[in-house]
Amino acid sequence: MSYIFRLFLIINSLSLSFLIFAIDKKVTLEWMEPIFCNICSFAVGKNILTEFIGNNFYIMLNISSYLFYFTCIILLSIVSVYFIKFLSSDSIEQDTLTNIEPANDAFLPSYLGYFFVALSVPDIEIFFVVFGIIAIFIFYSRISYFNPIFFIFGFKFFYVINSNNVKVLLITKKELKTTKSAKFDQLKRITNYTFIDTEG
Amino acid sequence: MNYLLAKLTGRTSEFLKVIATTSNILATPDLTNVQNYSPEYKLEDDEWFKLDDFLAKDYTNGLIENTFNGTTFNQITTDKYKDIKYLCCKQNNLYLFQKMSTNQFLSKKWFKVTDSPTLQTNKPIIVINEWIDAVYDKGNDTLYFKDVVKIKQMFKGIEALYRTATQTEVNAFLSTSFISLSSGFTSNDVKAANRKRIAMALDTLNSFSPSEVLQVVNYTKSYCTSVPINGNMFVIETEEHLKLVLYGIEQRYYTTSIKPEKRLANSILEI
Repeated sequence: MSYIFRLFLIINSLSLSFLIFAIDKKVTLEWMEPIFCNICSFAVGKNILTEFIGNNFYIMLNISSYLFYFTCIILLSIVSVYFIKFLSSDSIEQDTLTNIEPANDAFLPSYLGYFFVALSVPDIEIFFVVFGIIAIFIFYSRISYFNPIFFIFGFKFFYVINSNNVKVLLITKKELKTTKSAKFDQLKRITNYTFIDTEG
Repeated sequence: MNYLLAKLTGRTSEFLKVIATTSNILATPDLTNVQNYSPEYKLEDDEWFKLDDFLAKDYTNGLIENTFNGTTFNQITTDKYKDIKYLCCKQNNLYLFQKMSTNQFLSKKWFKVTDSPTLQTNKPIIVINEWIDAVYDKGNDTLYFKDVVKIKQMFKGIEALYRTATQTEVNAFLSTSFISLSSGFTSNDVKAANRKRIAMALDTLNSFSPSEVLQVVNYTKSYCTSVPINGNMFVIETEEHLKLVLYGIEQRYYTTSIKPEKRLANSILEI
């Protein structure tokens, strides 16, 4: 089960790069044009709206394609959040944490790295090869599954160190400041070093 | 959150997480009838031995001496289940230990009890037994258990509580002044049960003064009429003779005061 979820998380975390790539290379849903025209003429006939769309078709196509990609990415993330509940449970008892540090900043540089790669690859084949390799490395390194979309859902990333000196990545909606009274009863284990909090 | 952990065979292996759940995994045994541990005492069915101040005794386990952090343990992977040595269930302040026996790992065919069962092959399951071999209560630092032999894999060094005499010790015991071996019986013939008794008897003898030793020998003679005697010495011909003499050293024989009847104490409890 955790394999599927981790694969999902990786696809999610890399999917924004695809959006960047698509915008940069103007990869749009162009093949939709004839279908769209048919539907329009068949269903509504000629009126002001279809005329307007016809005149500005390519500008609209670009924006709507990107919006479509972005919606897909959000939907994928929603699905992956839904999958969380099938992972194995865990908990962090009260007063067992010794250190909390935000991990949000640590991930942004590597994420920027993905964006630059996405901007500089010349075509879609190379894009899939490069990101396929990155995905394989993330999958087997089993360390981080940073997904910026999670910020939109209100999740934050923290590194916490417990009293046995083990450092794990904690994804939670709670605002952590002090180790006192920090307590997580409904954790789910993504990997042995990554835990996500389903509370809140 | 309650955790079920597994300890694998092998010296360096760590505890692995199996299940974490909010419901109880194992039923907590009734710990009202407890006895301080003594090797001579034989437990009744519902009784438990206990060891107070357990952590100070330094029988390390790798788990109970540290603060419990669920996130520290790695998740067990499918290939490791067959190597489980024992299970440990952490429920609140209690750590319940259960030794894995081979019949708990079932690789038979099975099906669920439902309206539409399907045959499951090659899907081994692990059965969690009801009995518990040891309970450690973190709240009062006490270990409860039934049998030292069963928990010696769980707590390093605890077998010292019930150790078996070494060959040197057996030789030392058999060469004491009141024992002689018949030609058919040598120190190599002493079996495990008697070796444990010898370990205990040596400790007992060491605590006696020479006159007390003489006393206990005379006491034993009066009860062990079946053991041949040569002057001051017991002539040990069989394991059974050795056992009877060892019982004598532990002063397990007694006579009832009303309608005198000679008896052997199967189990000893200091009052």
